[in-house]
Amino acid sequence: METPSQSDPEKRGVLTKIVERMSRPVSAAAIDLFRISAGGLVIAYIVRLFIEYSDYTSESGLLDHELHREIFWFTKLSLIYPGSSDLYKLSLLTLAFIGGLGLLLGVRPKVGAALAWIVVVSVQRWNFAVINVDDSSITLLLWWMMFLPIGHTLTLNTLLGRSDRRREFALRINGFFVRAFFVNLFIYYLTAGLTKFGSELWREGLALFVVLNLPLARTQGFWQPEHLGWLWFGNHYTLIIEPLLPFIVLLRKGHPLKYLGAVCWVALHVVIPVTIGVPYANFTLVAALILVFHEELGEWLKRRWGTSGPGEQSLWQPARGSRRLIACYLLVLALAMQKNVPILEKAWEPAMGVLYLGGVAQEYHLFDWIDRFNWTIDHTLVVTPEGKEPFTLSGDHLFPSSVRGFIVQSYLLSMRWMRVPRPLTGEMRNSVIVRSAERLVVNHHDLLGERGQVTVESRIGRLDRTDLTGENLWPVTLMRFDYEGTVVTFDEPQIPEGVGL
Amino acid sequence: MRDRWVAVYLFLVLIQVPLYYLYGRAPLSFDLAMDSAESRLAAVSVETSEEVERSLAEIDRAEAILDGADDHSSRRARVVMARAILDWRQGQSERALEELERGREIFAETHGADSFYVAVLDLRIGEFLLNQGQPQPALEHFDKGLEPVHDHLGPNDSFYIRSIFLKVRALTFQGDLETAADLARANLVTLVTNRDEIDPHFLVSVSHTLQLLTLKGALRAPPEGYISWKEYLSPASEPD
Repeated sequence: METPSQSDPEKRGVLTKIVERMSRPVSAAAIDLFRISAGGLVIAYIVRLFIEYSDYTSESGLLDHELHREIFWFTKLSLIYPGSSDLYKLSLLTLAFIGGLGLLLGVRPKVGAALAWIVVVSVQRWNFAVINVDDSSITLLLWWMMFLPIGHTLTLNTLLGRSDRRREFALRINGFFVRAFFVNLFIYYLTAGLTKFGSELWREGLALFVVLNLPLARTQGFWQPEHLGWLWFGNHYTLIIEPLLPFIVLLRKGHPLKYLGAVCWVALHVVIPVTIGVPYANFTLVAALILVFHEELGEWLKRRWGTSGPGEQSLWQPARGSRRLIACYLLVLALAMQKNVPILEKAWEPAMGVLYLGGVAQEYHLFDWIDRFNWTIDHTLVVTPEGKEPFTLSGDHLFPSSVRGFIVQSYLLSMRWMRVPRPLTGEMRNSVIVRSAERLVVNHHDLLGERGQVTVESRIGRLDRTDLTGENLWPVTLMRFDYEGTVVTFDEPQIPEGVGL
Repeated sequence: MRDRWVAVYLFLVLIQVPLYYLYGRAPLSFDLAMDSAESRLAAVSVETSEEVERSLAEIDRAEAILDGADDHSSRRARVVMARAILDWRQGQSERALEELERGREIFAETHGADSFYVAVLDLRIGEFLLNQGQPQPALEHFDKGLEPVHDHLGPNDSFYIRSIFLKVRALTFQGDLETAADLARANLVTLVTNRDEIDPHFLVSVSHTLQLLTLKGALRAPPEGYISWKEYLSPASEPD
């Protein structure tokens, strides 16, 4: 167990008081409910990685990993390396799945979290070009699982009746890391919320309309100008509510505003995945409410299923150095979120580098980037199989209809999701064009036939107040190529040799 | 083990640092050297020998890093472009043009002959030739570069708009006033709508070209309420 510094009696007093206050016991069962939610989310995320394997993690997918490791040189340190077999990569994902299962069932949950975390961080570095807030939310969850006092209740043993359930529901445990997690929530929501005020589109009430009409949104194409009124309301709801949400942790147990805050919290984080996507980030934040309501939940669980009386206090204490580590992490995290903040902005890049080094890089600038990343693109594929009539295919045959699918396409535009050093943007663009063409002919061989030509006509542009619905998008011939079997030969653009598989 | 996991974690993080240094030294040093050289070239007239030497040293250092890493990517074109700008600033026009064309070749080899950066270089070479008083070859380069740049950046991009009006100037100098006026007329609204993104000195030079076209009768006078094209294009005015 760690002890405060002996050197300065007054500081020690203040620090000790802070640590003591943060360490007041909380319901162990509430923490393990959060653990179970986290385990479920991690497993769902790993399953999604399996499903998306051929598109992104595989070396024959949309991403040229060798090129990306040259461009994003800091991603080279990963368990996954060029030439590693599919069996190896899938085995790693399987290990992560087992880790997630351990977390869910409370069987060596910290070991499971650590295992899953190492694999997830490796996969994210390997697929760096397309990672987003969903990925960093899973990393965040796994990181906190390694600190929180999990696995003392609601485990497989509880399910199998091998432990004293009544005791578990009444157990209380050191709450230091729960309250430290609240600090992380504050940084999360204040960054996500306040930075939106720097966006013209958000201030004008148009950001939500634009976001929902981008290809990354599930409901793209549904929203019309007549919906602007509702979306203006939704826009400002987000703008006002988001930075206020974390303050509900400061309200006393049972305060009516706390429950109202929870309703607003859930509303925000359920509507987003339904309309846009990014489910893991949003459901992580819904799960976080379990900890926010640890007092209410703990009391209810104890009253409903626990022992009568004051409840047992666990002897668990944080591991040596862990409180200092989390304090350093929170400080570095706060600095890493200071992009565009005068004076403090000098610290954001080094702080982000430290977080990355520690395997816990985070990004809480959520859609405040809409003024810069308001590019949209849609494709029509004209396929002319040899000796047959031409027919058209929709753009989702070329790129997946998902947030990651949109992110990949950002490298075709001036937008670019991750910063690519000039002028390597050209190499990046060519790799996306070639790999998407190769993916098309492999995945849709039955439709395309053995031989023919494909022309991809795209409409590109930006959605903003002068063009909310994409009427001013301009037409571009994105690519034209001949295919024979799975081999593609480009007429347009003229691709240099050596690009592609 | 439980009480050692933090120490183990920190150890595992710290042992990665030398590897990050190894992987990152070349690309980071290259970017730092080139960012410094490019901002120096953009900011000052590069007249003093000290400034020239410093810029050259940074560019040479960047090129040495590429040679050491056996880098054959388009990064080399960035070095060549910086040399071209330096030569241009020092009045070594022929050498500057050679460097620009070499940069274009590198982009063609690494990105493809019809790629965006090749088109950008075409427009830069066109501008260079125009400033050298060679409107005809300038126009050939503008014609090659405008469409790919439009496709990539869009009609409201300041670089594209600027290139359009450089072509207007080239056509005017060549004496093809009707084509110049048609092109100017077709893009005037876009210019005015986006003038806040465009260098005010360039707007002044455009106004001179438009004034010349008006004097020659190819273009109508500026809209009512404006006594000159300069006034019409000025960011301070609020044209229709």
